[in-house]
Amino acid sequence: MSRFELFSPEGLRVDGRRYNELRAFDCSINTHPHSSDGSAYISQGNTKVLCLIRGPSDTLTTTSGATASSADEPTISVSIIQPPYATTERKSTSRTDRRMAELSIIIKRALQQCIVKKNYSRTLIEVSITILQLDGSLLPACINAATLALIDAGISMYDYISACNVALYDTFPLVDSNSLEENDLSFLTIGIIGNGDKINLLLMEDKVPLDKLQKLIDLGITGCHNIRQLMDNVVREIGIDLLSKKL
Amino acid sequence: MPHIDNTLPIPNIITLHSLLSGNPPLRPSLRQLTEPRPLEISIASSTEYGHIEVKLGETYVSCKVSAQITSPYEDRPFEGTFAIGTEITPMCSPAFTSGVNADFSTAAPAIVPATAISVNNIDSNKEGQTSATAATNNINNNNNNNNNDNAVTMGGGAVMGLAADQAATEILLSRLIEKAVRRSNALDLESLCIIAGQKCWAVRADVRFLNYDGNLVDAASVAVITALLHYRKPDVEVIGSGEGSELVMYDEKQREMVPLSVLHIPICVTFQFFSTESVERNIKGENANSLVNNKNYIKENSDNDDDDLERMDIDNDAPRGSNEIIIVDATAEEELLSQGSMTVTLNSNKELCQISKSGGLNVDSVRILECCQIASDIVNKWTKEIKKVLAADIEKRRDLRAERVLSVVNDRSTE
Repeated sequence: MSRFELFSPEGLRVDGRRYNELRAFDCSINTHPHSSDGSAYISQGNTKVLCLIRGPSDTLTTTSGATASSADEPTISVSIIQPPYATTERKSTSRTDRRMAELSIIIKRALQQCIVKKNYSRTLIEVSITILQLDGSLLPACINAATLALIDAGISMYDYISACNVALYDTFPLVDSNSLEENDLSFLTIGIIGNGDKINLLLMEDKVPLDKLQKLIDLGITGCHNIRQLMDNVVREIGIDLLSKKL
Repeated sequence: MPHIDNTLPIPNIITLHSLLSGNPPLRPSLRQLTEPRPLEISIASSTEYGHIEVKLGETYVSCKVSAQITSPYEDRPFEGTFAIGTEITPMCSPAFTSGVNADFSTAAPAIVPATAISVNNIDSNKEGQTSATAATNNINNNNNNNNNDNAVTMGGGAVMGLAADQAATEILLSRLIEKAVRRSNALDLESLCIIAGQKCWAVRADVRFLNYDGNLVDAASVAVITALLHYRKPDVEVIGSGEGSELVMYDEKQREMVPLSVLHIPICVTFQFFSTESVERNIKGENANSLVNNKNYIKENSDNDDDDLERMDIDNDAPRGSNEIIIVDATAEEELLSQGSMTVTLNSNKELCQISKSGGLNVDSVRILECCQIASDIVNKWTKEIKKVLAADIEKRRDLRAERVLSVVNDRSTE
């Protein structure tokens, strides 16, 4: 059992947030203009993720000939690197780690849905994600970073895809969970394209009573919208900045 | 070679498409949208324990549970180990190729008969510790297979299905089963400990897919959990303590076999999503709606977003709401056309053990909650089915003669 009081009777969490407060959200795009076509750095609290995008580029003719399948949509490849220094325990995750493989498939599928596929037939979009520091909400941070990097790369998308985690403490949902909360509580990852109520990504690995799901999803959707707004603000700011420079 | 699923003739796809896009949508089998195929659980062997075959329509899955004694992980001295092997081979459908995930191709050896083994002499059997996480899957393998289950958009596009993205399917499938059964603590690992830090049981469930007609996940989850419930491990006893202690394993004739301690019965239910509208409409329609609700937002963006007018148009002519068609327990044909899927794992206590919807069609949150309710009903039904089959089997295996010999006159269990 944890020494920490994850959610105090006064309604404060371990790091002093209220249930519906996101952690400090900071992002910047075009961080690596020379090494990539699009890049973004995102920090949600102590979770810091870097995403670089190369592409859209020509698909290499692969030995397997699988490119035939990509006649009307881009091939998206996602690789995730988690260096040993990302977490407090210096444990290196192998590239063949099944969890990471799953994570990259999930991210790929989520992105596939929000990229305007028809514009990128027979192209390759490489997404590489580096986890610089991990303090919970890994998948959301990766997806948010990838969205921003895709925007930076100028790849046409229907809308932002934003994601966030919601943990469940007793009956209280807690948005944007950190690793302390994720270790002790069950949590749910939710991803949304745009500003609607339609869920693109929903992932949960721990036990949650069925009747609590609604609460979690509702708060998650709000969290996603908030994150989308935060990202949008930054992108627009940078856009205005770029425009003024051009003129 | 691309794993193009040529098992499905094109006219069928067109039929299926027109059926599903009708109003009301129909399935080729005329099943209700939320009605699973009949589940058929059979016990494969009348002598062995833990070998189950599950038929879900034409989908045919077999699961064999085995156990052996190994030493526990160093960081978990009080727990046994549990691994699930899922491998999709061409056996179940020509759409799959073998060798993508060869890690679990070797089955665990059967249990050795009752012997006395000195505790200190047993080498740690590394083979038994093969963790499900130690996979040979290379992420790069997936890079080529960009198609996923939403690859086939209704009304056109390449004919590629879930089977096409085999590596991804396999990873997701094995992770799903693992999350559903292992992570949800369905099997009490602590009860597998024999001597803390030295000896424990390594339980292993090997799943074989014998025929593929959609929905491998659900069938596999039922097979794994039923096999675990059915399995009996031999009784062991530690004689003596310290240096000279011995581990004695009794076979079936010497002592009654011990069932595994299964804490709850998680069952997966997979939903497939279809939409008659395009992906664009799915996202933009929803977007337009939110923009209408938020007039300021439109004004703010209308100068730098050309799409806004278009979005408004879409909103005017398209009825907003849940245009998604959700079906349960899809066949291979339906899976091929599906634009997204979601797997929900529940137990009969209405506890969600796992939800997984990765990408695919965007679905309204209300519909997702509806799905969970539907899943709950199906889980209850299937749990009953499992219990019925197991109870019938126990009845069949009762050795009346032995029972009479062993029973006492004032046996409390007799009524």
